[in-house]
Amino acid sequence: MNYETKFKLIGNKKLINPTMKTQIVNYGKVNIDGINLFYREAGDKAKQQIILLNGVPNASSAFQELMNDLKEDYYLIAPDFPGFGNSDIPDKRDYEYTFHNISLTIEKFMATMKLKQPTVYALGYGGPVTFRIATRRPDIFNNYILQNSNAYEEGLGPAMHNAAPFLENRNEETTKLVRPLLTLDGIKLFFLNGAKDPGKINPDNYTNALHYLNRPGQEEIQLDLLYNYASNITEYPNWQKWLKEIQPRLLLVWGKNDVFFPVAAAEAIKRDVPSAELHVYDTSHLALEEHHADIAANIRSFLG
Amino acid sequence: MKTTRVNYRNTKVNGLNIFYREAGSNDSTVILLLHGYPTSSHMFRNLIPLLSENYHVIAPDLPGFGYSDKPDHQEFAYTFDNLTKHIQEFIDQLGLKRFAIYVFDYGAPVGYRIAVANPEKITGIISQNGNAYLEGLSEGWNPIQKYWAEPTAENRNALKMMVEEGTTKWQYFTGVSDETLIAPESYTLDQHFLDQPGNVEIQLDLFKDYANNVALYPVFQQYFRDKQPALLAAWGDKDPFFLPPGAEAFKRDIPGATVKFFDTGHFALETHVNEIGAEILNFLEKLPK
Repeated sequence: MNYETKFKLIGNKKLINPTMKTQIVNYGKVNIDGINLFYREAGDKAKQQIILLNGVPNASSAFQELMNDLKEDYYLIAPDFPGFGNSDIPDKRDYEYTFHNISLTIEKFMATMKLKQPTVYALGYGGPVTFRIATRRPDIFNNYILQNSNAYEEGLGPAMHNAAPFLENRNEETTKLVRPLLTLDGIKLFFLNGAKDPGKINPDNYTNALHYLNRPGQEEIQLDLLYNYASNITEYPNWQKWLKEIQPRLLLVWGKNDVFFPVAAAEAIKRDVPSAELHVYDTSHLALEEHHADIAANIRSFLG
Repeated sequence: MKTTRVNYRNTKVNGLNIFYREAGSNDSTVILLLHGYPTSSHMFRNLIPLLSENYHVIAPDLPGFGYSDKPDHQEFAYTFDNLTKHIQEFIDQLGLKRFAIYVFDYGAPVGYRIAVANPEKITGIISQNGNAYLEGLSEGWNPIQKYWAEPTAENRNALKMMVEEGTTKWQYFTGVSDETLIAPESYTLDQHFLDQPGNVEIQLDLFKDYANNVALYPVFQQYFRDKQPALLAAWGDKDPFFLPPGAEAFKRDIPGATVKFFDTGHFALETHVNEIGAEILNFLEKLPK
């Protein structure tokens, strides 16, 4: 039974108070070039569409609450990248874990799911994937929402500076600098570092993130992709040029205490796209954990 | 727009860390949510926002589950009596004087023990696949009943398949017609905790002690007859462990009980949280404060 039928059925039974918040998200998988990509999906596909992209450390589960907040008024879909969350984990001999390759997979996913000019919400690793797709196909996204993602040298925070020797030269010594990111303490850096009130952070999310990152073979895949982040830094000037030329319709929502991509990353974008709307929150990289309701309100106001 | 904030708290109860989720106003009527096997208060993550606009919602993780402490089974008696003792102490520490109680699976024998001991505190009971009658037990209990009858190492070891990933997923999908409603984080998080060192023995101890719940069914039923608590049974009618006759049976002892079936399995909240949430709100509204 699809979402619409279910919703109508509930309506017919008059069980649901129409003002009551409902909680229906569907979970599916679709085969893209032999890889089963997991996605979560909510809302009516005929409404404005939003595709939500995130990678490390928690993939599409980062958007669960935001989807609950917005699904009455928008269609939302959030895939897990290959190797992440509940998607297949192809062997690295069969699938090269690069941002370029992931961007190709996600572009195909958008075509397969017949998305029509969605707005993109890009968080963290979702940013480079988005910029790669958008520079190839400037008309594919209708609007852009960037959250704690980056396209500028000055937007690299202390955690990225710490990883810089690894990005430049991957060896045993430099790997020691970044391996802690894949432990519980590293995961907590994304969730809790800079959070205003850690008591409001749902432990389920980082516990599950740890569970997924502890799976066999994950460390190697995650290190491959992190090492490939250097290719994003090389691309930054191209993305900046694209931003200046295209002047996309852009909403920036930012956790200002992010140690990966602090608010300087947002300010740099706003310098090149002055019409961009910026909302800063006193929280961590994963700003949705504490501020999903505020960010949902920003999105409603931005998209109408 | 109304926003729902959930607090994730920890408190020491008899020396154990007890984790709980709390939402809603301190001035509102309290509803205590007690989870089942093999999950935790995580199972209430979607129900809490539906209830917390009007109610003060409190959902602890039982010792041995979720984020609560899980002492080694040789140092802590994993019995339902002992779980109840800790939840009773938790209730007393929080100073809860009057509350409604939502019980599911393992939460039921704990919650019914609490109701029997504190009938004056209970404003109403919501039993979601929270069994109290022999006719509610399915054949799914056979391997466990075998262990009760002959508590040998062999029969204990045979139950280890119950805590494996495949079984956990099976519990979530059995009886569910629309599998796209099952969030993978549910069984993933459950399995994460089951796979922690020592957890298997904890669960095997509790399987064994479940016999004492069955032995207490007559006591629970006597309480239902004597006190006639307001009761809503909200039941997944394709639960492989607790059968619909277990829900119907409440009406025998509490003629005023409401029994509602939902076309789903054991973890009915995973697929029918909106429908069950609406029934609960309707039920709670009629209770004395």
